[in-house]
Amino acid sequence: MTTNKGCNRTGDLMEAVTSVLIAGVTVLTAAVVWRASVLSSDATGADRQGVINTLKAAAAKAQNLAYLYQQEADLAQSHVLLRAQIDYLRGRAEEFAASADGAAVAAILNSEADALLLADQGTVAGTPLVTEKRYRRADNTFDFDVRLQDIAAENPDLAALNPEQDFAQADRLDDKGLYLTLTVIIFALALFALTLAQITKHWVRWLFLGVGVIVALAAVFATAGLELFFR
Amino acid sequence: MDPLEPMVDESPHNRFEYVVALLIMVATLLGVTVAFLHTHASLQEDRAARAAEVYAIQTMGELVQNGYVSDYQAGLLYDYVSLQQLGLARQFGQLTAAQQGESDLAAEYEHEAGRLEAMSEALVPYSILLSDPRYAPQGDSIVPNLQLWADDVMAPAWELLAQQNASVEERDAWGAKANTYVSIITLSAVGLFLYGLSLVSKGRVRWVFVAVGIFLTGASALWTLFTALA
Repeated sequence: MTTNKGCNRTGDLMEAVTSVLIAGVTVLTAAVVWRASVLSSDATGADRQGVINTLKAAAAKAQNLAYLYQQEADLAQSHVLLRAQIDYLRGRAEEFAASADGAAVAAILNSEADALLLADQGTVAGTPLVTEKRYRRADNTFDFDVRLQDIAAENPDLAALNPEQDFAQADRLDDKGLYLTLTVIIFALALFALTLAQITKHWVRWLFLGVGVIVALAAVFATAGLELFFR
Repeated sequence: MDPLEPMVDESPHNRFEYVVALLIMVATLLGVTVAFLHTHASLQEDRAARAAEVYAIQTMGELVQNGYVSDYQAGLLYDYVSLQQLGLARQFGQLTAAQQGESDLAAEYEHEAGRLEAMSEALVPYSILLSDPRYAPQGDSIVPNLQLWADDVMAPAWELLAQQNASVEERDAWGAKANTYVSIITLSAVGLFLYGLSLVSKGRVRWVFVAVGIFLTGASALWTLFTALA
């Protein structure tokens, strides 16, 4: 009788412990699900920010292109045409100057070339594409790509937009949430073992209890590891 | 301990409850697994959708850039052709004036023709349509290969468009998978409900509930397997 009573007491205590463990693991599972949901929400925010920044960057580039091709490129073309005329007039002036009675015509041609030079200087003033040598290629044509990069760099806020960074952050958060969801399966396995411990008898219940506790601890460590080391 | 003593209480009522408890746990495990698979599929769907959006924006940006570049190049070509035509007209005027003995006027026409020629030639290095051997007029032709140039200019945009379409297809595929998992979870939930119902029912009907629950859980498991492997 005494032995039976002792067994019953041990059994009752174990049932109580198992019940508490089941409740604890359930609460932990709910907490992990909540955390995964928060991470998913944060990831969605980072995702949206990335798309918004992509749009901003595209809009900024479109503006820069409009400025480059509709302002500076037009002025650069005027510069090219004026320079061609100046060179032509200077060449003709040299030809006339070489002839016996061509000095007067040469002077007229040179004066026109001087006037065009003044016009050209007025046109290209403040047009970096024309005035700065770094925007010239080896064949003396304009390097629009380099100029476009410099125009973009002139606005540090827009130049600093980095959608890829936002997307990488979103991916990290999503992955972390996914792995946390994976730990929920481990928690569920622990619950399964603990439930078996609750409904079985004798040594088998100890086995299930042990397995349940080990699996639950593994899930807790996995969750803690994810929280601490998965950045 | 009597080695023949059963591991669980074998009174008919309790045995039924234990079986149902196990079935509930199995269904719960299945549900949790499907939930994980659903999360994974949704995540992939979101990533593909995001990629599609980004490709769409990049395609738009590429088209905008192509518009400006095309306008610029077309403008250069138009100016070149206009200057050439004006130069030819001046040369024609020079010839006519010379034929009629108007030497001063002929010289003036010649001067203007030379100036227009110099201006038009100055534009050539800046025009990809005139300077690039791939597009520049060949032989006696005066027309650049505009079609080839347009194809080359648009190629990056078409490439981005193809990637966008592929991302949309990927998004739809993952979306369909995620939706299937939702259906499976719903089916599992019905199975769980039937297990619960069997616990509060009496007589043979509770076995019917359990049997239908087992069928639904089994069907859910198979459906999950096929969906995951698809």
